[in-house]
Amino acid sequence: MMRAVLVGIALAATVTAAADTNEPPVLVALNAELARSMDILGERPEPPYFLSYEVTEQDSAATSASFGTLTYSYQRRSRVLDVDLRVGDYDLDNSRPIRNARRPRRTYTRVPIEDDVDAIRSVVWNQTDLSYKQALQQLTRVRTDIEVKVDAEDQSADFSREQAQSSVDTPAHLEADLANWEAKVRRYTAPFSAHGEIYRASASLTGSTETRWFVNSEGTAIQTSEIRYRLSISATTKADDGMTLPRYESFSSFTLDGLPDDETVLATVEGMIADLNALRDAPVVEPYTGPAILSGRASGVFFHEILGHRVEGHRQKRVDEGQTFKKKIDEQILPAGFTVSFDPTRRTLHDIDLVGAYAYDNQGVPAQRVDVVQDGVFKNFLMSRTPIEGFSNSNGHGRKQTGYQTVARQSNLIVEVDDPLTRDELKARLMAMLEEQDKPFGLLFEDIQGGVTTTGRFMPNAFNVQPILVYRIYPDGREELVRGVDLIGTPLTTLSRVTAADDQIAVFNGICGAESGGVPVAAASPAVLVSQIEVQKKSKSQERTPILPPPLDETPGAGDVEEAAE
Amino acid sequence: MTVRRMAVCAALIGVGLPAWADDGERPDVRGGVVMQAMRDELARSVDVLQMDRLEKPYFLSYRIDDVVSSQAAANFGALADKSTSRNRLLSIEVRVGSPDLDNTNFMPSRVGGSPATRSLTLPLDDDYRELRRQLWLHTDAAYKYALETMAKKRAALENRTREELPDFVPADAHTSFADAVPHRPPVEPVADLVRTLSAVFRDFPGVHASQTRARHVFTRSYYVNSEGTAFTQARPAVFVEALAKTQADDGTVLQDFEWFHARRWEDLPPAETLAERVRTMAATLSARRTAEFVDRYSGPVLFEGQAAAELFAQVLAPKLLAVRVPVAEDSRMEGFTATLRNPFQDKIGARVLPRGFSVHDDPTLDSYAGTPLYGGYRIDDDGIPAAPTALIENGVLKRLLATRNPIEGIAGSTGNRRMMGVPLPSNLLVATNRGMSDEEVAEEFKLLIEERGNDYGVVVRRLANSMAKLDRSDMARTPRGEAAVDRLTRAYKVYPDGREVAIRKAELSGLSESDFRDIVATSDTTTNYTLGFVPTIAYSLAVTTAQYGAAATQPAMSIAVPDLLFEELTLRKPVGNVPLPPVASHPFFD
Repeated sequence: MMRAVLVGIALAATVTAAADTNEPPVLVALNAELARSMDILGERPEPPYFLSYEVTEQDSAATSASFGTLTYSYQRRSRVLDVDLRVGDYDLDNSRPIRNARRPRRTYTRVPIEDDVDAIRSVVWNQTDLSYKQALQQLTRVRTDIEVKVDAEDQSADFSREQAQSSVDTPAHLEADLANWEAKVRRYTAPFSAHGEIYRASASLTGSTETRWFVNSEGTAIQTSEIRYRLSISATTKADDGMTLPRYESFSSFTLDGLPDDETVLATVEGMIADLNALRDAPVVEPYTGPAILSGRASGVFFHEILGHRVEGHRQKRVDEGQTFKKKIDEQILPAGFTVSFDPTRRTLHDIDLVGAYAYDNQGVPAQRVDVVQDGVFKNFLMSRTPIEGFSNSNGHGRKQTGYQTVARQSNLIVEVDDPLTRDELKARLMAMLEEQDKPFGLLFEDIQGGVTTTGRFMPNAFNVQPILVYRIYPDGREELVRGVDLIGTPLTTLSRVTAADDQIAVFNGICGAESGGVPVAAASPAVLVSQIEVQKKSKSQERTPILPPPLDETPGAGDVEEAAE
Repeated sequence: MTVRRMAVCAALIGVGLPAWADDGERPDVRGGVVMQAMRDELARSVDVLQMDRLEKPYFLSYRIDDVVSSQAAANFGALADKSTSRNRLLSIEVRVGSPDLDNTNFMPSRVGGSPATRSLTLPLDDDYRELRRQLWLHTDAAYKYALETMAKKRAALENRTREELPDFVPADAHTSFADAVPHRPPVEPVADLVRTLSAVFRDFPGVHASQTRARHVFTRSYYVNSEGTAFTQARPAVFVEALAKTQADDGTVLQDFEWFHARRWEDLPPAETLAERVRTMAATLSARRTAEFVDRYSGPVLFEGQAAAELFAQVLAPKLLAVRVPVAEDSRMEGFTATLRNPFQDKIGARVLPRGFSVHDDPTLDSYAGTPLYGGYRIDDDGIPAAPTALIENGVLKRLLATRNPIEGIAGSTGNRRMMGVPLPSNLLVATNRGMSDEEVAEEFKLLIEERGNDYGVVVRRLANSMAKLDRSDMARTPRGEAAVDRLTRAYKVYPDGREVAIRKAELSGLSESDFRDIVATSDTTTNYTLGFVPTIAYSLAVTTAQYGAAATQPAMSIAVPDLLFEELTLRKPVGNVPLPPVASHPFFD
């Protein structure tokens, strides 16, 4: 019996390989092992009902410099395997979270970086066996959890049924002239070296081709390939009170040519230096509440934190999540005219590449635009293949970093308004609010470094957006650079205070971290006016500025003289 | 009985190259721009660095490690990883107070994120101005950290007495420059070698998983301190390892490994020779899947080759280090620091090995009995010139390896500071004046078996090492760098007629350093073995040093040990549950 099964599988594998000699070798290996595993494991008392493999290849080059000198430069390729093996059935399987249990840890399985089908299969086999055993163990826990705990509020299934997909994208090739890149990052950071009070300054230029091969037991077989280039510049100074003051700039693109030219970058660097020098002398703001304008980039991150993380589908199901919007379908949550969509199919906006774009998500589901808020009314959630009540299918937002379990994640968040104001009109509205509210000043959040939020039930459901450049706007329109505050709040209150937006859409490209790891996302928004925000003191370093002055004008050999004198 | 020597480094015999092979170029013998920047910023800091009314540093040192490397890994004949890298790491030591009482030998109650283990990376370009800037900023941070630690230590000593021991022993200035400029080792040969070696496993259906890794690295270190010591030192090194894992039909997890060291790439034996060694390992591992278990055994055990060296390295070597018990910040930490004391500190003058045994540490040697040693250096990381140290003579403990951090009864450094919290051995040479030929050892073994009335004795040829692991699951019980000595990887029943029967897996039960006094016979030849040797205690105590910034590499130790015959040890079948064997068989062999 066993012998017959094994022969059949060997034949099947040969046929698969012979059927299409142009099939990429990684797909050949994954498909062969998929068929064999489903056959052999299918004979077990608790067989898998679903199995998928995803191999992610990162072919990356990176260079970095600090104050005009190189700090690293390398090129590297890696391939990592992810296995999703499910026992039970679509309604109830091993993926169901155990209530109040720890989330699974990251597993990281390296796969040969060469297209050797046998070597790849040997790793896939090993990992499938481990995954199967873990799945069995987990299913037993899930079934016990159901027996011993109260009925779940959300009775939806554990896994959605989706159409099989088939697509083989042409592999992208990284253009990396490392010597040239090294020269660039040196040049970009050299201007900082004349400034002894700037304690850290670095620029990194990275390029990475991410090629993914995905197969599943429902018949999906996909190869996608995408290149991303990124230039990041950061510099830090310190105020006399110990406060660390950073400045960041970054540029992302799908092509090398899409990054700014040297002249533009050097102008950006000069701007950063000027900002840092100004920040050091800027007054510190005390905790305050009042009206504020968030620039496009700041409000992109603001929406990402307060809205985006709360519309990720799986969070509506977990009993430890806040589920802010679960019962808000068709309710007005923003002013009429506001639309918030997540669109991974959109690759550029106003000539800026959006890094949250992709063709298929990490569950092999095609990317789709999802309108979460239409005309101010809440409409939809971001969905992976984990259904929730009323939303039984994926909308192509199942994402993860390699090694993590897929959950619903954001892609390209885009805020649009029907009747935008100009920037001047927006500022005039703020000044009017100052008078209405009898406030001495309002705030303008010009640039931010990122943000965090908690969506659970245990901790307060708050967010924190970390600004880098903040200005006070006085009733007479005067603007003054200040420092030392973070923008904080809770989601429903803050959203209800959003009143208007301007016509200047800006893009924040970044990496979003959550339980399924870091994924590239974009957040694009016009500047918005919020009638009341709150700021709190920023956490501050207690380290003093350096005792000795910078040794920048010293000549080599001074130490030798000292030594001779001793 | 045939006893085959399985010396791990036996294949590396030959080519008596000088210890510090030079690659020709020496444009900056005295350390060039890097050393200049270090000297200049050191001079400025010693001269004028002082915070308000607080004390100035009385000792300051900089060390920079320039590391260039090529590494690759392969599975089953295909590359899994291939990369080259270059790093420049800074490590600073700032001492405030005085040698009698300074900021070291103090265990704070919160030890998370110790600066001794944090990497401070420097620019790779030889840019004087930028190196100065980085040295300035890091020195400032290190000095402030030293002041804070000093304040905490003084506070902790307010209401407590303290051992009357200084914290630092003065040393003379030394300079030493004679090193190669690191160059980037080519990665292709490294990749080709691991690919070739890993392909060996395609012939072994009995091996379930394997990985082969290799690293070719040049490290150049620059050092300067406020006592006037300055040196540069270069360390070329090649390391190749093949790791394999399988499960027996009953689920028992079995692992084995093969390590190769060389100083230069061209000193490695030919790939075919290495492949043959990997093949032997794979065959041995496969055979163990169906080998028998020994439920419990008490009787004579002979450790041969790597097993003898590994045993000595894991059980006895950690006891040869002078461990300073630090002042604890609070009583909770005091409970922990009390456990750090090395019991051998009280055994100086006492017998710890049988008569006739001697143990030396000798960092000045580059080979021993015709095979290379890899633990050597010319000057240690405190700036003390390397010298041999007699640790055990005629079985009696004479002294312990020490740094400039004194402990009671141990005066002065033996030159064994290797950037860790405790002194570490370099090349540890174990010898006896009563060594026997292999035949005589075998005869003695046979006599012991008969005398004890056993059917057989046990010979061990390979002991597990916690660094040689394919994945963590089987070694989960073993903390980093700690003894894995209870796991016998290759052990055999030996019958009086010389017949050998492999044992699937066994553990040593309750072996300790005192058992070494009961060694009854040794061979007249030694096995020369090299391993990364950093006991866990070295990490625990890193925070009690003045070190700010991690060193680039973990020190290696070479150890030469004869075969060791113990009169009586106890072995048992491993206890605990084992994972089930794989459901499907390996696709390649299916």
